[in-house]
Amino acid sequence: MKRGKPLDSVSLTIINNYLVNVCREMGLAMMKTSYSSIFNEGLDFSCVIFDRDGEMVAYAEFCPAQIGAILYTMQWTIAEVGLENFKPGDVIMHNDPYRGGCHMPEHTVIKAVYHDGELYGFVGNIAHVTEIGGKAVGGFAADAKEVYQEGLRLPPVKIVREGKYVDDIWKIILANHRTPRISWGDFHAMIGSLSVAERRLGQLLSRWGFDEVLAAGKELMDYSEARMRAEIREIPNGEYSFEDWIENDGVVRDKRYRIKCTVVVRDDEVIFDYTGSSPQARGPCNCTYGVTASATFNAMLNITDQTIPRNSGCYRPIRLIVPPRTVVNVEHPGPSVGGNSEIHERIVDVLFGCLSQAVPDRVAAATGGSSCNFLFGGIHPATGGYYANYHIDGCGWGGKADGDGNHTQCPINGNCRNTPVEVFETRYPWLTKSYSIVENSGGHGRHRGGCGSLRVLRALAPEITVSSFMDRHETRAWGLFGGGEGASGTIRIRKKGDEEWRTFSEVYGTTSPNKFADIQIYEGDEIMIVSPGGGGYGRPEERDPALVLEDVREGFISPQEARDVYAVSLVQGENGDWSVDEAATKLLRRGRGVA
Amino acid sequence: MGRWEPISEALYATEIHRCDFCGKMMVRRLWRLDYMGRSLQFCDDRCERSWFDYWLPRYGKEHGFG
Repeated sequence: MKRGKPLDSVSLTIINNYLVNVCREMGLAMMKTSYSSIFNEGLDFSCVIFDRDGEMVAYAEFCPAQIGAILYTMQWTIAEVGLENFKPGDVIMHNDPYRGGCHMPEHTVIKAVYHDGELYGFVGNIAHVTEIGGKAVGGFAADAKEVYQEGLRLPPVKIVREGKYVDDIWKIILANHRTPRISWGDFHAMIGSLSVAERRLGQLLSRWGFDEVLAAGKELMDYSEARMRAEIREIPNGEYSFEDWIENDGVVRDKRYRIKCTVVVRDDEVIFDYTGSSPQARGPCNCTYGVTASATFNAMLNITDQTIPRNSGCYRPIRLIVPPRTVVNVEHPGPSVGGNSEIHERIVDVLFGCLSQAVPDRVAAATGGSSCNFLFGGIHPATGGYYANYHIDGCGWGGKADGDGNHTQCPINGNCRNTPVEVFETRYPWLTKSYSIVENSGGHGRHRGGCGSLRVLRALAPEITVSSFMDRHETRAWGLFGGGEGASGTIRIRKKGDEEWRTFSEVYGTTSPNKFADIQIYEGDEIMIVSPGGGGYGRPEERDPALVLEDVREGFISPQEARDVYAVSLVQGENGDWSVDEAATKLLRRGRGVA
Repeated sequence: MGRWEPISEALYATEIHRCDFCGKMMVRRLWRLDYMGRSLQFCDDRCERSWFDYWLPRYGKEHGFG
């Protein structure tokens, strides 16, 4: 390879920004042209540029949870297909969880980019396709015992060959999806975004030169590696262990699964050793290698300088030890659909727990740790056609050294938006009866955990098939340094004519009350989803009384909690508004040893 | 010292091989090491070295590498 002349830092910055913006434009193209709400409202996808060695040169910040998986998916694809077998105009699709992927719904499409006949690299995106067949509508078989129940598995296959559709492959894929028209639209949004990126990269290569852009990618990765090593040097050498639990796998009731990690910091390198994690579960709470890698990389990016360019260079000082056939590295034929959406955030919690022992001011307490995955589908009464949807709800995030946790937001690194009620009700046969923040659900603390949410839905179709994969309904998000636990969540049903909210285990006999699949509910039945709150950071008695007052005014905590937990005495005026009784608060806090 | 070994590319050979040190998937070839009567597989010689330096002293005994 000819080597381009070294670029100055300004030119490198311009090229880096250009590459990142190409990835962002890919995402916008997907958002604007896709069919499903998890694409165009949720933005559950990531867009990436790779060089020809399969190294990630740039990506856009849509769904960071996918960035490890797309790297390994890309590298696997190059190795399996062989560089010599890529041709201009080829598009490869891949969703195999054992070949680097996240879980079956996440489909990756990849296109090689050539300039004047020479291979520059690849553009790719990974996205959550709502309906991929399998036993459960919406692709989330929460009681699956093997991968074959989770949908259609695709090793790297060409769906477009030198610009022409490979019809046979398309027929196989679409015949196995319940909503083929939606898949067709979403796949074309993905492929279209590759064309956008291919065109933009061509403009960059023409303007700056092929060798220069290729060299710039290498230099950017070297730069990110150096920055990441400098960050790791700031972490005290040592070994830091922590563990947390998944409460059940949807198949075996009352069996918990441990996620354990030991973080070994050695000068400018760090080892993440997951030895000690539970053996692979029978149900789909297992993570693929790609998910565990994504969570690990993200945890490091979460605690280090946000200005470091995000590329493969960031990962070079990081080593993973992820024992196969465990909940953090599933092997065939183990199911894994819940690992990406639900366990990813638990892994990040565990890593924050480890790193809280070394860099307490950089981490957060545990998140509510559930995407509250709620899947449903059936025949839409308004159209007579099949529909399916993957619905997520946010949870409370953990408090951190410099602030409170976010309220009811998609768990850390998922980064997806929720679907507005108006869009939700227009597309699907549900009435949203209520949607609110749950008072007192955030863990108490100097920096309070974020609150969870409560959503009540009423079925408007004669019949809807629902599935659920949720967690932290028995366990709770832990606090740090004296902070309290977040509240747990729940999913319940109130059958039409019934007065009581009941668990799905009570009504339908499901093994798990929060991980189940393929339950038929009927018009007038109601579903209640309560998402968990985040853990608190620091002692609640140290929270600024003015912030406690604001929490009460906003409905995040009750006046009683303000007094009992935060040691803040509030008085209510004639107009109903609250204010802090400074003298009484001082006395209360003095009584608890807080100045 | 290990040696490179190809992984079967037969269409029916869908088994995924994983590194005995880091757990990562291996695609077309693997680094084979025979040690104390066991056959081990790694991504490459770097993972082999790390297995000896890191894994063996910590976990070797409980896995029968007395």
